[in-house]
Amino acid sequence: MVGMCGMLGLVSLLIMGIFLFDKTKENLAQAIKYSGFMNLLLLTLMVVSEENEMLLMKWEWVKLGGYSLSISFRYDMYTCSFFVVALYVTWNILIFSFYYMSTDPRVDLFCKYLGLFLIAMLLLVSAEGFFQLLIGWEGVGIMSYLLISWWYARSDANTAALQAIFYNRIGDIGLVIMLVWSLMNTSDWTFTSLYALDMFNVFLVVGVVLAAMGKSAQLGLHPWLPAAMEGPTPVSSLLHSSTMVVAGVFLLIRFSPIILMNSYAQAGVFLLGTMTTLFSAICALAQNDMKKVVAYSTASQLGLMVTAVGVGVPQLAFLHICMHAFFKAMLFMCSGGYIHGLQNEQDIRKMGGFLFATPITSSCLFIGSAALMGTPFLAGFFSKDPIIEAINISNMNSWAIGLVLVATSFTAVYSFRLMFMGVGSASRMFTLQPMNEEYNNLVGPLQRLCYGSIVAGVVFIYFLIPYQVSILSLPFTLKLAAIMVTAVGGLVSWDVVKLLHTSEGTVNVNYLSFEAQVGFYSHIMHKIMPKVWMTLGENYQMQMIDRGWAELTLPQGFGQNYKLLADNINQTQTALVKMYIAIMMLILMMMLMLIALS
Amino acid sequence: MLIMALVFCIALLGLSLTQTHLLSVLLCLEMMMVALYLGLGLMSLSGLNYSLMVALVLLTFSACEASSGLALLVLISRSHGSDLLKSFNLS
Amino acid sequence: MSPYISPLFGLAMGSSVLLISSSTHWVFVWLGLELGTLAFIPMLAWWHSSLEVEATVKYFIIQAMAAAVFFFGGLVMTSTEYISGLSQFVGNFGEVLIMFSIIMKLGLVPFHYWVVDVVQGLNYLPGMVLLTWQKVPGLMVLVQLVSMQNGLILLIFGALSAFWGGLGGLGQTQMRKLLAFSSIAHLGWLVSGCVVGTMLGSMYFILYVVLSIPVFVFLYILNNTHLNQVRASLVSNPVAAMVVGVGFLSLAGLPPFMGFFGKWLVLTWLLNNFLVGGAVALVVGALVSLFYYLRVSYMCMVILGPQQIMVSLSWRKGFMGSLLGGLVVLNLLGLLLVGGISSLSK
Repeated sequence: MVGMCGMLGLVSLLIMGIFLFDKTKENLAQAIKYSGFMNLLLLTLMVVSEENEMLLMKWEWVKLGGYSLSISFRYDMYTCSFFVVALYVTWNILIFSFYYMSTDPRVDLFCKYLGLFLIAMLLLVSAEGFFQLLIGWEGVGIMSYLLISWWYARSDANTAALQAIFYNRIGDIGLVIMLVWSLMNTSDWTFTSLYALDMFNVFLVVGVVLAAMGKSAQLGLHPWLPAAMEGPTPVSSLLHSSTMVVAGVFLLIRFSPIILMNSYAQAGVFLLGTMTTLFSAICALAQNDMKKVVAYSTASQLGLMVTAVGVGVPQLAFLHICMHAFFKAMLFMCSGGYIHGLQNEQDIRKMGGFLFATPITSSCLFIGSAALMGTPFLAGFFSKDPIIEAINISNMNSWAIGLVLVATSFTAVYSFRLMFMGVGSASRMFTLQPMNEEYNNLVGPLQRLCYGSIVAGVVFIYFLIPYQVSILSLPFTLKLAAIMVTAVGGLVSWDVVKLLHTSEGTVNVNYLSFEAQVGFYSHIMHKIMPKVWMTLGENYQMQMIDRGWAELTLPQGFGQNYKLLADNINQTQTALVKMYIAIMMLILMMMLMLIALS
Repeated sequence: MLIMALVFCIALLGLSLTQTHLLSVLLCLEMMMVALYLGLGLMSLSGLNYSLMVALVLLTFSACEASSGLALLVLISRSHGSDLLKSFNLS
Repeated sequence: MSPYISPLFGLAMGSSVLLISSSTHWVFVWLGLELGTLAFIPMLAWWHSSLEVEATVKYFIIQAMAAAVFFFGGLVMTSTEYISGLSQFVGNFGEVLIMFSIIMKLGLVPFHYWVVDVVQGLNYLPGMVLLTWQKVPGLMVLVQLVSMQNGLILLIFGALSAFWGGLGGLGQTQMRKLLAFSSIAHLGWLVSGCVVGTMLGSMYFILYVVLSIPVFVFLYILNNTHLNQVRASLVSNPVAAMVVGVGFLSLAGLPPFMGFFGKWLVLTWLLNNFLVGGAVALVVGALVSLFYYLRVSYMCMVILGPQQIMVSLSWRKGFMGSLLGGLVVLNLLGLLLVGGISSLSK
């Protein structure tokens, strides 16, 4: 029964894929919606029948010797929940993009890209075989490139898209390491056989972590995520908040049984996550671009998810993925609404007082930020609070645990700052701004995602509980730690805003330059390092080796030799058949003599 | 048998080394065929009875081959004006 | 030649294959080979142009000589060992002679010289039949002959052939010579495939036929004999040019196309049988030949004149679009076929 319904869900996705070829984009949105409902039905059935995992459509594609390559879909709680969330969010984003991109002449193509991107992501999530995983992974990568560089006439957008593809490529190297290792060690390249192997390997884990770093913008490979805000807002909303960037975290979750076998690997993942969450939170404090604030907060939350995997609660990391999808997509949409209303003005110093101009959008921004901060009983609370608790009671490095708490409080700081600058305070925009929200395609998705941000936590916590039993009694301070640090952050934010934006006279803001310059990372990695490497490369590699020895020996040498060889061979084609016959006879005699002698 | 092999090899050598006329090339081919015919006849002496029938088959086909060779000779002398091997890049 | 008589020759060519496939005695195999050659001769000289007649004479002499050597080998085999079947391994001179005569007929490397000149003289369509259909009888005999010693010789010749075909084509500017060298190189792969598995050899042969027929047919339509003419073909008949370009990519053995899978399978089987040396030689040969394949497909598909007025071109009318689609799909069928082919036994 459940298997049948699973097939139906798959078929609904297929039909949705067919609608990519439809001329009208509204039909695609409808198809995504219905497919989402179909998968919701499937999820419900799975929850009711307590079916944890099933494999659909095991089709053996290639058989070679003892090795086989099959196409099958892995339907478990992760896949089904993610399908429902992703389809729901994408449906709303698609409708939002009807509003946001309505003046774009290529809006139909844009919607198709979004749909294709969604399909790649779903393929990634539901992959049982690694070949499928690779297709989904690379599909997500290439679609993100196309979508970020949507406004390809802007050089910023192109640079951002190239950054995205380059950083992702570094991560893909990790994925390839993982793929090759598992190709050599499993017979059919699937998760099932990898789990059955039950083996820890350094290459495998390093590959997976590197892949996750690239895709999920962890510290070291992070700069592409904020840069990618150059794309249209629906793109940011879909790719860089809820679906694509969580692919890396999702990979970590899938591989968590293997990562958690080794305490060093676990600690590595944990520290990577904490560093990312803290660094991104610090960077978010000083950003003035509205989308960049949200982008850094995304990176920070991704760090938190990775931390959760590292601390041993991948289920909670997944729960946070789902919750995060709702409110982060909504936050991006809110900023998109503002930006559109302000005629493409993104600087929060020029906003303010939107509560009266756009009450619904502003309320949604408020609810989304509250959910992001982990305000009790909103969506974010149900995932963030258990994660912080799990971190608090784990026996990891206590310094790192402290850093996570600091980052959590920073979440409140930048969220309040964003709200204060955007929604609250006095209006600093020009007098005549066509600021309104009288669009169904804006308000509808916002409302739907807002409901999601409010109730999704309660619903999902019902069936996505961690497998390991948590400690039931907890000291009062640890239990309330997350909320308390958030409250402290909220209080501090008031001072930050006052210090930065409302005091009389000029304030010395030099101490902020680390934050404002996002840790000088791009300066060092994108400017100084390339220059050093360029110099080295030009002097030694290019002048001496490439244009010197290597050129002379390899291309020139080989070319000369092959030319000589080819010339000689062509010399033998004299077109004189009697000569040929004589040569043939000679060879025949020689061969016969050789055979007779041997 | 050895005689047959010798004749065959001489014909083969002639085929490889003839440099003037196409007709002599065809004659060399015929000579090879005759050598094979000879071989089949000798083989029947040593007890393989069916070789005589095979000899008939061989004769038929060598005749076919010779006739198509001659047809080609005619064709080429019509298109090139002579049957000299030099005139059509054969030697 | 009168076209009404051509079915007779076609029938004879077909029946020659049937004769070979159904007989074990070498005399009947010889009969089949002779029948195929003699029926093919008039087709070669169809148009009576001087070049064609010349090529026909060359072909005739070589084939007749090889047939005589075949018969001689059979005679030696029978008179010394009293054995008449080809697949019974006796390991004497006769069998080796038969194998060499077949190699001569096919044009594997040390005996390959005639292929290039004959194909250069012929029109594309007879050339196509020569390089595809006329290989069937020879290959059918060859797979019966494979044994330990012969297999080694064949493998060496095959590897040499792939390498030689690659090198020979490097300096060529004549399309037909290029195709002949390509056929030599493919024959090397083919024979190596036959050595490790009969089924594999026939699979590779079918792939080669399927790939090369569109190339020949469309080159015939384009009427290009020189590489310089190919350069202009994208403008005059883009559909045909695209097909030729894709076909060349496929012949080169680039992955998404069908040609890749044949090469891949041959390599897999070679490595499974621990014939690493042969595999490496074949791959190096393929790499060398990649140069001229890419050059042709580059000229077919990429180069366009500086100021072309595309509106008035005939391909805008799209009368050959479906044909193009069909052939490209045929080329890409490799992707789907790989599952089926790979599950075949040797």
